[in-house]
Amino acid sequence: MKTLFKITALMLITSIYGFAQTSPDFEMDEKHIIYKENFTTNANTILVLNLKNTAAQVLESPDNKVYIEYTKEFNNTRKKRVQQQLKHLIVSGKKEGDKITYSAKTRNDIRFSVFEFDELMLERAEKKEFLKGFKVQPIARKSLDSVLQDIKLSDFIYREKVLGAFKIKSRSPRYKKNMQFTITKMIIKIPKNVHVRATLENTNIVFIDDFSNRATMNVRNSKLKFKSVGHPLNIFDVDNGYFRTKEVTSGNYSFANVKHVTIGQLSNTFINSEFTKVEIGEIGKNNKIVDFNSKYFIHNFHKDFGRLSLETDYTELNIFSPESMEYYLETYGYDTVHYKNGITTKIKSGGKSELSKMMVIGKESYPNKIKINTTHGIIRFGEKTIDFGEDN
Amino acid sequence: MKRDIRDLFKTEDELKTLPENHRAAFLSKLKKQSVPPSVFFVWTKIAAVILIVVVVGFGVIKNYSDKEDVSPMIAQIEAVEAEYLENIEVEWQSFIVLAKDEKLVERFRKKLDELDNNYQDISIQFKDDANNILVVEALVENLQTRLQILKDIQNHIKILNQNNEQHENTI
Repeated sequence: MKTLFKITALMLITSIYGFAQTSPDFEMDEKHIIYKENFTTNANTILVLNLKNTAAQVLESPDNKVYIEYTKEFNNTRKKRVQQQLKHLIVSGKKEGDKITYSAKTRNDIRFSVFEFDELMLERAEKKEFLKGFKVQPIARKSLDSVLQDIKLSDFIYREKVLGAFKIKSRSPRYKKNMQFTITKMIIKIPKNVHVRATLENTNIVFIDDFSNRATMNVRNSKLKFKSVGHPLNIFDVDNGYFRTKEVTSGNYSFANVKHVTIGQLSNTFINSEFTKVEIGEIGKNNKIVDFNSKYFIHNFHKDFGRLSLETDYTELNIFSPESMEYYLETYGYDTVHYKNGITTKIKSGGKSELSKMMVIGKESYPNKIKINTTHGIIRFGEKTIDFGEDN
Repeated sequence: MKRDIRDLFKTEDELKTLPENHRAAFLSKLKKQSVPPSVFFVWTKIAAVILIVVVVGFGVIKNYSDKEDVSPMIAQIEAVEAEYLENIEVEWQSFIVLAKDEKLVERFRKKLDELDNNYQDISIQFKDDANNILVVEALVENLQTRLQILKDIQNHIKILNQNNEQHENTI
């Protein structure tokens, strides 16, 4: 019986991720075009995307049109199941003046039978770890390439976690003619000049090409993945979920309760965060971070990073020192502890809650500067590793 | 006072006289009385009752089995939810004892309320769409976030409270 459930689970997991896979080399039994349309654009066009409980791929358009294509292909699937999947899709698109609106909402994309396994997948994969707590290990500095590799493999890692919950051996999904599976593709192609206003909820979205469009995004409980994202007028408001990108080149980004923000290179960006875990491969030019109670991991600095400003409250900053360059570091703190090279510096609480100078490294005349103002903060500087030994 | 009962009957018989249409009225009343149910009629009634029972019973069973499709998922999520909420409450109580900063406590209270409201919104979606893995994930991740931020902040405060030296370093 367990084997049966494992097979069912694997098939359904395959169907979930079928979205991201290459197509099989045989013809599927049924193909349904849910939505297919293209819209001409101009310099003033705004594309409004409302996506809920779905997944999409975004590409750069080859011309000045927005293309949207949403298909579902079924193989060896019972009619009833096909109909059940199709009837729960709510999709619409329209153009009014310079505004193009596309909305897609699905429900019931996966059957409950996945969860009929004798232990709930999530219980195995997540709950036990969260409830019992786990020991924090020292972390090693990651190279930029290593962080980029993490971003590249993030989907695979997540899939491994799901498969691991079922104790199913990982393997690349190989499509077979007699296998039951669904391939869902929602592909949106957007010209560079179009302003994208997106509201995403419980949605997985991958931007395949560099995304330099102006974007205003309101994102809830979703997974976002970019190759490169940035526009000086970008405003992102991300609440819960995941945010991964190889590069952020500019814009304003707000993260609240985000499980993991992973950024390869960061430059000309303002980040406002709270209750979030942020990992940055390399700090580039001129960034500012304002935070409350998040955890930051900064692995490297570009040789011309210019200025990094951090204003934080109850934040944990884990920073690997800039290598092979002269830099100036200045820390002002209140009720803050600073760990560097085995030296602990602390400004204790009490009295007026004013910031005091805690640590200075280098000369102020150096072009690369790190300025930290923090209250109730923990700051750890490391060379090759950062040890959390003081936590225990 | 002794009386002869035969005398009494004689007197009453003299008082009562039968109406003229007595016979006709009697027959008419007799006809109006219900006919005793035939065997066929009894069996028809039994069959009707059985039919109603079967139809209603089928409906109830079908309805029950439809609900059964969803209930294991809901039951599992409810169990997960109960366990998380219990742990969140334990961590919250421990946090408010540890934290001396009222502003911090207030900010966390607000954040937890916000997350709870978000959870209620997702729960509505879950009731409508209990089999959607994205919705289920959102529910569980919301609970995890609440628990995690409470654990993290307590660990943070403990580290801050470890050392009490005060000095400035210039390297």
